[in-house]
Amino acid sequence: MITKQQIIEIGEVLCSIGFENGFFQNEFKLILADYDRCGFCAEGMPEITIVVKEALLSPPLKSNNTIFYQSMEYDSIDATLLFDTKRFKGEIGVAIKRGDKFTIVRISELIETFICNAYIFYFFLNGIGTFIHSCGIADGEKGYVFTGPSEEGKSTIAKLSYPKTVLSDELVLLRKSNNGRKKVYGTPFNGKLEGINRGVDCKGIYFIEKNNTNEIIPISRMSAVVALMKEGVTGGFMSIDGIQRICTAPGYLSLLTELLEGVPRYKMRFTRDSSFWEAIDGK
Amino acid sequence: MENKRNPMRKQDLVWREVDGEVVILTSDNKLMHVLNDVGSRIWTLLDGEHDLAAIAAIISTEYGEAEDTIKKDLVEHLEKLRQLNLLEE
Repeated sequence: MITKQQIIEIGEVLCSIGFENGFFQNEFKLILADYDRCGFCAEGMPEITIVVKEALLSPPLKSNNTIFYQSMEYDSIDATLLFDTKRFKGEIGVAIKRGDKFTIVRISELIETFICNAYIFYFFLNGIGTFIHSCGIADGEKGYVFTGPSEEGKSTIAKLSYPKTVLSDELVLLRKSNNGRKKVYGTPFNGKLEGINRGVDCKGIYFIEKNNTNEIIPISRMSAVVALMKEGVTGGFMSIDGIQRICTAPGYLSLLTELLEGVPRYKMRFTRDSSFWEAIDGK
Repeated sequence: MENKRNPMRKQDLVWREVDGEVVILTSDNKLMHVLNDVGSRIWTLLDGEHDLAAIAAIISTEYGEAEDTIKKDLVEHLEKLRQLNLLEE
């Protein structure tokens, strides 16, 4: 029996999370409290449904190009993940091998990772968006995406952008909006600073590089697409066994190409102070 | 009419042209090759219907370089593409 479902919202897409086990639900409430504080809890009819169960799930009966299934060991727990990519319905099966002080953290991490993956499937297979490993900043109704490898300065940029609004300093969603414009949204995942549930028009994507001067150099759409395919979160996601037959590299290439149409793209070298914003505003 | 003696890109490769630049995914869909402006234009002509002389003539016209120079560069360029396993044998 599923206890009360919680609805979350990322990029204007709703996802319900239900629990068959009250213990898992109680522990995940801590994460949901953070989601709620940052505006990611919502109400309405969900496009994605996830149920967490206290039992490992059997693999699908026959190989099917629309079902993703993964069995995994994660220290003190075993888990199975199943996602029907046609109906956008997923199940997480968890079995605790031994209880230790990190078991609850691992279960919560697993659920959160699965939520993220379910959203990646949804946005990818509907051809409307992708998460990008990046810092997103909103300046009024204008959104800016700063992407680069870990330790290249995404969190630094977030801290140096006050009083502008940090959408996320780790993972943002870039998606098409109904009017054809591209919007950048905050996500609740993994940042040093909290993300916020808000979407604004994307005015530029910046591939960052720490330096001792500020310099902004336009780059081609294809260079940006290739950089995102190599660096983007979906790149890592697609290295998981069984994903490639559902979310293909050619499909991702096409999606990124469309998402970056009309979005200015730059390489940005920047110093560790807020003066890079003057360079951006001067463009 | 397709002519097998003419250079031709591999048919099972996935590639996209965007804003005049071509990116090619390899058959395992992992490595990517990005071609520059001229390389991209040449790639679009590697359809099996253009021989080396025809490609050189088109590039010469479009980029304003001497056809002989282009032919020499084109041979080298095609050899590189062959080494990368991007052309039909």
